[in-house]
Amino acid sequence: MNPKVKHGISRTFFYIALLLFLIFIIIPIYWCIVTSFKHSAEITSSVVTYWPKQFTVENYINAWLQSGFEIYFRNSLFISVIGVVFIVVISVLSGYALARFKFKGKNVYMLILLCTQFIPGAMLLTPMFLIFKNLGLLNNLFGIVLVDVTFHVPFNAIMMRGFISGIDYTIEEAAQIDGCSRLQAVCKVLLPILKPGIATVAAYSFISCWNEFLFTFMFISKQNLLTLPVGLKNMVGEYTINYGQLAAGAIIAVIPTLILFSFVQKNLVGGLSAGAVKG
Amino acid sequence: MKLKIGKRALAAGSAALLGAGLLAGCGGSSSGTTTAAGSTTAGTTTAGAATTAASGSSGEKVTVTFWDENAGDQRTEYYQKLIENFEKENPNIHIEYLGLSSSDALSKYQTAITAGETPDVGGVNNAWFATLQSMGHLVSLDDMLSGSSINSEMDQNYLSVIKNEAKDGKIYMMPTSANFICLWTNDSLFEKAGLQAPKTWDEFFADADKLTDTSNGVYGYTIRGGASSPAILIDFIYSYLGRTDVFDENGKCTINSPEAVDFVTKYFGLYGKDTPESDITAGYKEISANFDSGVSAMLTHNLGSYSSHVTAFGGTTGFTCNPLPTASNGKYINNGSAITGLAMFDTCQHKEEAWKWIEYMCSHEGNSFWNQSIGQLPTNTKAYDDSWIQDFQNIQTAINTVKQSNCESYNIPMYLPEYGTINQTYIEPAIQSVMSGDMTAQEMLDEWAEKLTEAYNDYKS
Amino acid sequence: MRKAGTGVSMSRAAARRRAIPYVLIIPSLIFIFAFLAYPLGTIFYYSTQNYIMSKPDARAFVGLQNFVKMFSDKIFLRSLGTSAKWVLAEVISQLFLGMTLALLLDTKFKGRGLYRCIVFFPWAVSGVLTSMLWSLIYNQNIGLLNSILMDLGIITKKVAWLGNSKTVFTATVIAEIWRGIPFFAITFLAALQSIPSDLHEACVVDGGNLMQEIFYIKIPMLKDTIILTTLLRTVWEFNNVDLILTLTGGGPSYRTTTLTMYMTNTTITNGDFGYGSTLAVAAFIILLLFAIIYLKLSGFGKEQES
Repeated sequence: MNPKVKHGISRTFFYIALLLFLIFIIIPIYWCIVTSFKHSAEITSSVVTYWPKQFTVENYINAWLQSGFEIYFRNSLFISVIGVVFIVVISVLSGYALARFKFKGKNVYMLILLCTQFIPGAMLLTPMFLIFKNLGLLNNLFGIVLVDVTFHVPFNAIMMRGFISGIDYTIEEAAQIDGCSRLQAVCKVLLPILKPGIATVAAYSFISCWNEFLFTFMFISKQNLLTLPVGLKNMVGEYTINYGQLAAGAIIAVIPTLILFSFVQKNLVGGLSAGAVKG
Repeated sequence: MKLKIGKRALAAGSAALLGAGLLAGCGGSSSGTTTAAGSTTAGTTTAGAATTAASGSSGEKVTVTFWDENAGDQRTEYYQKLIENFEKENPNIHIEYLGLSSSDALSKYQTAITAGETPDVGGVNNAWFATLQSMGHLVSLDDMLSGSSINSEMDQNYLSVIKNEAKDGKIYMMPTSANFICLWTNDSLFEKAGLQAPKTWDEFFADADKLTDTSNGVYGYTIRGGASSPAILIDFIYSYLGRTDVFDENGKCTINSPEAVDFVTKYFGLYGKDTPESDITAGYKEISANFDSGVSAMLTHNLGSYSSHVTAFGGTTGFTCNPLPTASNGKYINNGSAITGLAMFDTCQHKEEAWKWIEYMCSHEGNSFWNQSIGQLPTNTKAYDDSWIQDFQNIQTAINTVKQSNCESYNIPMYLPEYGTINQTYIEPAIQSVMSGDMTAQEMLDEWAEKLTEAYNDYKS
Repeated sequence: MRKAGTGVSMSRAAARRRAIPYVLIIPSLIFIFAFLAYPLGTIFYYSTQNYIMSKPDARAFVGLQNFVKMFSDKIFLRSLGTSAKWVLAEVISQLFLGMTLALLLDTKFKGRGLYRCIVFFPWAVSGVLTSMLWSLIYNQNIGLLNSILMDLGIITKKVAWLGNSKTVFTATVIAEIWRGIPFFAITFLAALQSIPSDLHEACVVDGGNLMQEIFYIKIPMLKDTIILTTLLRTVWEFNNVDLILTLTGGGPSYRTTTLTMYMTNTTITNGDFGYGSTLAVAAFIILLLFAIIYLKLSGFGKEQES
């Protein structure tokens, strides 16, 4: 077969596959956006409308004006930004230890990291509440950062181990032979190559911090220290669910994460590391 | 193409928004941090209920912390108005409000109780009042009530329900609002079928069948098979039986009496025939959507769904609130326990001020405004004469029904500490098994009766 | 192989070098021991207690009685089965779809950046909305899915996706896949970046086709990442309840109740800390054994250590 034709066929399959994924992923997103522009009555109507009959931005205005939404937004941003810095730094340290060293207790350490993930947070709530109370960290945004770091470091450290061990150690070694100290080798050679991994871990931890609900709900008893997920949950009353406003609020809430990711994804470009190896 | 432009516009807009957000976030976060840290120290002391900071530093202003157990944007607004008024009348008291989402409120209370971090006053739903009360950290309010002017104004029925739920017969929660189980009907669907809202249970079953028109996707009824289905079912059973004793003189549960078995068999016989198939896992939001979208002509719920019907029907007409059907012995059996109220926790250091807030919510002024806003029944009898009562068809129906001489409240076993567990762990899935035909009504009711009898005897001993 | 000093300083340098990994893992261990060790310990402790919140007087040590009760508890056995089914279905399909998507996204095409952002969305959006969104889509009467399928003429009668025991499990699984694909896709995409492009060139020169390149070069290079992500995802899906809870409440008749749902219901909703903790201990042991066996059998980290 002519390689060009062959190439054409595989390209066609490629685009069909892309399209199928796109449809599956985008339909709920589309529905979320459309719902956020509908009036309540239209959302619960048995006649499903694919596009808002009466287009309204009311939901966005109400969501934003809902008491405290702006403060919640700021609190969430504070928690997430600080949380991400902590998580990324600690994960790189742990990940590097796991990927580059053989040491006694390595497997035990790995299992300890995994063990932290075995029990759902809801089960650990009361004892953790007592610890934070004794430390005076209830009703404190930094307390929530500590919770986030505790729960998300193990996961991200393991991910980071994967990313670091995917990079050939000889690169660092070469730098050390060239006269770099080990730390210099890590900073100058490893970290730039690790950018996709760091970017990914940053994105993971940002999402986890940004969407954390349970511990904020439990540990914060002051209205002006609440975060977005708690505020969003309050839109679901016992007998009233304002779907439109919930969708609008959630879309506003997801924007920072998406913008962050649009920067992150630029680091997910093939061939970067290859260049680094040669250089 | 359109989508692309939309995306781009959205991206541009959101970028601008984030820019602003970041600026605000950065500028604000440094100041936000300091205020956060600052208020934290103050906050921990108040939350520790020691309120020493508040009373110590400013001398007289006392802060009362207050949790709303069912926050929503509207309810929060109403509370804010009430607090504003209250603080005007009591300039030395500050109410610090915190809204909790209804689905997680109980667990927040439980954790707070275990750790001694409870608020001064908290909103409590009667559905889990017994669970909370049994943990033993609520303050009995009898003395404060007897010394208060609202004592004579409170509806005694609701107070006695609350007293019945504590083993020592004391008041651990002041009812601020009551609900009423009702049958919502879709006017135009009933008119089309030439029917009127059912008055008896036979009519109810006949109507559900007549109203069903599957070719047009219309069902006579929507049955709750998902979350909290046992709560509705037990109301229906005693309403059908026309009896008020859930346990007979020997302490045996009456829920599996032969009439009850007949009724439940018939009731779940409606499923799939006169109700949508999805009802088997339907919770409140699904059955409510069925009614609001005109898919189902009848819905059992309480006064609370009023505002969602108003939104869906585009006004206050087109749907009606009816009492449940009357039993064949002529009795109307009501669930008198659907109450929410305010409780005081034993960590409270300013009982006098905290009571003032509770008292205000039960006073004619506060109670009337609150219930008018949320569309439920006042617990202060003076409010019954207020003019707004006339404006709500559902509230009027509820009050008129409760006033009827044949109306009695059945003794719902909410006081049993295991009641919620039994319903959720065993009965809810069993109801679904009955609906799907994997279990008979007899088997389900026998299990229910056995579990309730056991819990009852445990409680009595 | 690694660079080391000479002479006297050698032993000190070696000692320092041996200490490095321990220093590196200290920060993470501080957090874990400060905040998680005690709470995890309480779970094990409570599992030997009769501890029901609403019965503070009845609290007592009961030894292994809770465990005995557990083995005859039909709901436990059933929910464990559901958990296994759920995790298996989720992890396998997310792995397969996520890997495919990552390979697609690793190729250059127009609009790739936007496409990646769209793919990322399901993961970024708040859990409260995800579950509400899917319950709106699956709703029998006002749902999007039935409406589309009827307009396309695929079905003639509205289907109760979440009410029918034949469809309820698959429907929930699909909703969760939607949320789970981005995790695998993005992780693999990041991992693929570390495959040197000269390997790709070598493969092309050898006349290998795309499929050969994927199966003989890319996937083996991703082996460790695959093992870790599937393991973490298994644990994550095992503990993940919010979506099922909103969509089905665990019904009909426990058909979609997972062990974690049963555990949290028992503990949080019913306030039975004793038995709830027993279930948690069981889950903990099951996951721990799984992790150890999985890492051993998969030969995790072998190549790299040899």
